Amino acid sequence: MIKKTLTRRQTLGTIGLGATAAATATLGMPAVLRASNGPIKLGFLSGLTGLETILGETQLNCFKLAVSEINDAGGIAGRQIDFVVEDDQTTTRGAIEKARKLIAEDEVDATIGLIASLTHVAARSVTTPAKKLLIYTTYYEGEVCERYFFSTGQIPNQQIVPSVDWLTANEGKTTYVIGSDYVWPRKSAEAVKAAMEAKGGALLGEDFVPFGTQDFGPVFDRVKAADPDFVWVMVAGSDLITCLKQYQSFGFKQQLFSNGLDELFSFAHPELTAGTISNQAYFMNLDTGKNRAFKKAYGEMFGADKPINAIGEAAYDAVHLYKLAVEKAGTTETEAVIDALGEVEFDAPQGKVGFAANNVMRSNSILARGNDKGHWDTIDNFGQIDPLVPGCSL
Amino acid sequence: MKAAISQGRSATPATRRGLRPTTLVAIATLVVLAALPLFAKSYALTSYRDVLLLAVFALSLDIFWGRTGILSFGHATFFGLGAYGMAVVAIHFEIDPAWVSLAGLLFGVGLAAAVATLVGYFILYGGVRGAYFTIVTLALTLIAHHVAVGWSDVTGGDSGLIGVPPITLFGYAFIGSTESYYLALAVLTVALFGSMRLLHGRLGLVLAAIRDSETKARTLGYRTDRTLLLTFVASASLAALAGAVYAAGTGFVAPDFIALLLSTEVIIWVAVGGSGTLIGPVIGTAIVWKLQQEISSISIAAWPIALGSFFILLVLVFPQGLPAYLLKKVRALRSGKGAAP
Repeated sequence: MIKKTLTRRQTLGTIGLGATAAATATLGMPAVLRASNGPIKLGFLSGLTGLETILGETQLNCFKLAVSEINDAGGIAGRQIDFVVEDDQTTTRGAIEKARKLIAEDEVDATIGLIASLTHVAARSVTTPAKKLLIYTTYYEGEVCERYFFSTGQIPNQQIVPSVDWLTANEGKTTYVIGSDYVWPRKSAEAVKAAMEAKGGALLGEDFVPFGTQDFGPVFDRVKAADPDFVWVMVAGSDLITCLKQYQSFGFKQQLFSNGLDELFSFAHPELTAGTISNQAYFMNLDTGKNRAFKKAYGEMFGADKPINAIGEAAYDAVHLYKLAVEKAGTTETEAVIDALGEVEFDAPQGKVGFAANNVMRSNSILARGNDKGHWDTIDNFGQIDPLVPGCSL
Repeated sequence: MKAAISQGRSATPATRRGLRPTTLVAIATLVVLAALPLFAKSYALTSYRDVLLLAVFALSLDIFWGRTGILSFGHATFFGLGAYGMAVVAIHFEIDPAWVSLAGLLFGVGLAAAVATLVGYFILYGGVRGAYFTIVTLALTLIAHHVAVGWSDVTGGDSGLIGVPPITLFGYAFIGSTESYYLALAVLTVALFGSMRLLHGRLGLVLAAIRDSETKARTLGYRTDRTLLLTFVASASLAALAGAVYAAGTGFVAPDFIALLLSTEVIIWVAVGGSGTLIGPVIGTAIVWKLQQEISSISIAAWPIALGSFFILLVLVFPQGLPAYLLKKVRALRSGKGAAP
């Protein structure tokens, strides 16, 4: 399946390169790229229905905002961006089938998006063997080391470790993890455990529940019995709202921390998120000129007072970083773009960002508490942190 | 005995007459399918391969439902057991790559056959028929789905298992899209002609007799419980075979392979193609698949709604399936015209 397509693309690429080389001398790069082979095609793949519906739309909006900004400013080296949107329904099946479609049928130059980690595992099982670029824009468990995979969200040493530092110093030395039953919460729980133990603390227990869990009572009973100093929640998507509601009615005194909470939850349910603590690379409250311009542009395109979260901002960054890399490489040929991605830097709403040698973006780490208006007040800004993936240098 | 059979034949002339056209349609369909790789792009071919295997799955349901008139709402369980059996063997056990496919196939199909025998024995020998059979098998899918989601150490939970290797038989790996397409086509061909041969023969007549009146069939000396159980197990095994080859083709399993939606979809495929015709469900699967592609590209949410609406129509308006319903209408129209002048 892939072999045929690749051959064709490679041929196209070779022809494109040949044309570029031949024409560079006389015309200069942008004009050549415009002439080479029409618009650049991006695939947007994410959970637009299903568990992550709450997050998918904003991620898509931020992606669209970046594309329209680039197209309005003349495209990537003069070539406009076209895109195809596909819904993975937050399922393994959806992510695999749609990733195949984007690569083989739509022949996209790169795929951007994804939320739940099970979908990045699924999509990578398609894109990496096909040697196609995939940029993941959600905070996740890290530990991936593949040339064709880039990520613009936080990984544990940028999100979990600094949070544990603060929590153990201020809330106490013990915690209990409640998570959805898939790779992100399970692997992240290992990172939480290691970080807690490094600070002389302990993970008292962990519970993983299937998607669509309606009753957290039995889990909360175990948490109560274990009596941790704070509770660590990694329940995904709409299940998180169910979990928060029941957490409140259960009358826990312990501080709730969740590295899955952001503006999308807090705008919809400020009464549930007020007082909880989260850690993200971006919060809307961030007071930078770039962020104000970003929020203004988003508001004009999709309506003011709409929430934007770190996943969305990371998607916005991903498109811009891709643009810069293609311009630097002078081609959309995947290998060249990947080489260039490591060298470009983008002035993002969260600050200047770029990729480290392990293909993970250097991103912020901001610990914040939800307020009753649905925004997040910074407790501690750890600044930009270099991503650590043990043993990975690409 | 011989008299009884020939009597049975003359008593149901529709079966005898219906035999030839369906065989012809089957042959024509398979010829078209065999030529398809010449025209299709390799990506499309992998989709078609999946459709062929889903068609085998539909065929498996038709063998039971179409012939006995007893609706199983649990067929996704067997498809899923085949798929998960294949995936679990391939991923959790370290088996020689040359034999892993065979081991997976045997395990998956064996698992489904065992579950079908166990469940089938108690409900069929317990005299459960009709709507109650449907409800029990529906519960079976729900249970199986919960196990697939809950037992995440083995099944991968909601994420499923990724990395099922392609089918390798006797050192030959069906890796490319064309190879795996022809493998699927071979499975379909063997399943289709095998079931046609069986069901157009004595077994088919016994099943038809059971469908018309189980008491009568039993009175004539047929052990209807055993016949039904055997048919159920054969049908479940074929579903599992489709599931196992499907998992190897797509390279993963996920809980939607063993869910109620799939159990519902397979009933629709059979109903659209015409239950009891064997080739009908194969064509029905392709038609509904194409329809699903069109509808979900408009809106993903529209598909379950369309499916549900069709299901209600199916129960209320054409319980015998779409072709039978249309055929009846056409016949009524003709005879109406014939009577008028």
